[in-house]
Amino acid sequence: MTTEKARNPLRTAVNILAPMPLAVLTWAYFTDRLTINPIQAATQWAGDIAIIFLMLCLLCSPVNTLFDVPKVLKLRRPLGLWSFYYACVHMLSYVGLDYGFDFRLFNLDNADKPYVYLGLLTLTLLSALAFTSYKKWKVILGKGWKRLHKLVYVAGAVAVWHLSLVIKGDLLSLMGNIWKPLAAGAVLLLALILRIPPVKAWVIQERRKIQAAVINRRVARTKQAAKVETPSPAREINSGEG
Amino acid sequence: MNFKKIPAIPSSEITPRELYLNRRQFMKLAGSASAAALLAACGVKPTEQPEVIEPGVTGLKDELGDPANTFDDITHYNNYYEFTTDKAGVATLAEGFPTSPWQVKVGGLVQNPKTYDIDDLRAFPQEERIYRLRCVEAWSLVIPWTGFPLASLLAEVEPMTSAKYVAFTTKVDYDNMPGLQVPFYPWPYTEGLRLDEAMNDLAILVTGLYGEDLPPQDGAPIRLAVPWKYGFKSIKSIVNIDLVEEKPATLWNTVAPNEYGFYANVNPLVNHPRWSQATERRIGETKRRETLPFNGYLEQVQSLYEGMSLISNY
Repeated sequence: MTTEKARNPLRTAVNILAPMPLAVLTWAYFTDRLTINPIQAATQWAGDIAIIFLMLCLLCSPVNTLFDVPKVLKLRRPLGLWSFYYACVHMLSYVGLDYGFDFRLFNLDNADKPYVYLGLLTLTLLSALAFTSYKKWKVILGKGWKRLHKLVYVAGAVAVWHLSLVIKGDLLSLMGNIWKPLAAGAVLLLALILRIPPVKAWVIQERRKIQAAVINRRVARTKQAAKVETPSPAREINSGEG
Repeated sequence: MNFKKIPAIPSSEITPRELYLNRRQFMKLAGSASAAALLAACGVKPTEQPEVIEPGVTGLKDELGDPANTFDDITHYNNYYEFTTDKAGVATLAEGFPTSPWQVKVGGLVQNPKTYDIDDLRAFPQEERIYRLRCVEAWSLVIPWTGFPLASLLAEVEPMTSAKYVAFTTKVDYDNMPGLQVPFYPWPYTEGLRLDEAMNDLAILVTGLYGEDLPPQDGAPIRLAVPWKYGFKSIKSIVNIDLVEEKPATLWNTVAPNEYGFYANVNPLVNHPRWSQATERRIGETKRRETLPFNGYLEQVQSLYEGMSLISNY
């Protein structure tokens, strides 16, 4: 198991790069570089990063469908977990740093705000997925595990909805500061569309055709090269340059 | 509440510029002071003991006793989407924004339409007003503006009896405002007040900050300040003021009408679909404070809204 993990350099890269934003955020926070309203900036920053990781996680499957790179599927767990971690930082920054865990103040502001409940729902879904992301749970839940982890799409949708409610603008009328939920929504939509069985089948079929064509051309070229080839080392160097 | 008790001497005269300069400078000074103390402890004689300046030492306070924010704070945290949506980035992008020559066209339903040169507007008797600015994003600042009542300008142009509202428009300068390239906004920025609101003594046209000319990022050369309303009502860099009969369209109200009402009075009791309106963070403070009705200007403005539902007219 461990050797299999070690063999995927992409996973290593994710786990090395993923904590960097947190390091930068912490450094910027404590060196007074997060505007004059640092708590709000930190909360928003952590939230943005959580959504970025969630969208990267959702992109793994479509990237594999489109480009046939099964290795990226192994990134779903680390990317999902990092999204969960940043979502926790986001929530703690809001409740802890911003409201100082003063739930009287917190409720005054938030008890009637849909975005808070949507955020909480996202975090609940993500924690359920994080908790059951161990191999052990795969065995225990059997077929149910896959079904359960499809909830990541629900988490993505609720997260985008949450984001669309905290930006200044209106996603439905396409007005205001909406580029973030718009971009995240586009990723989510792409991921979902490529999950529709006939679409996925068609994309894979088309991809295979292209792959086959590429291989055929390569084979034809090698054959041709073999035909003309004379065993002269000088010639080989020339063709290599061409 | 005795709001009229506004310091007669401009802050620029009470406070030397170095004193209100900035927090970062203070931090630097504090840092070098402790470094100096360390050096002294090591037996090294510091060449000069730097003067330690505390933030808020300017002594400027609003009428509720809260200290004014620093010049640096007020000029490096701006919502001015014509430049960028990055609040900390406006100052850099707005640097050198041409504010001279500048004209403000006052017209519409008035007896004496007039185009004012910015210097004509600076010639109105200027006063210092220390106002709270409460942003719809739930942060707030205390700002020593310099300006003059909007009422005195309106008195000059003489609104007709048919005029019910005042509509304001911000400059559109494609060469100098990169944010205008971003789609999704119905530029130009527009705002509006009911005529009686505009005539209220609290409504001022601002030409200066801390006794100096208004910096571009804060809406130079002339902006509105209506402190009992959310910050977005206080439109920046005004080029047109029109007296009109119908309620004018305003930018944020057009973008999201269910969120940004025409009145946009600061009201902790009005449920807002997003943002927290019951509490706010005063910039520089760690703990949130509760938001005051009409941002603390209840006495001065409540008569404007008698018999009107503040819930449906948010």
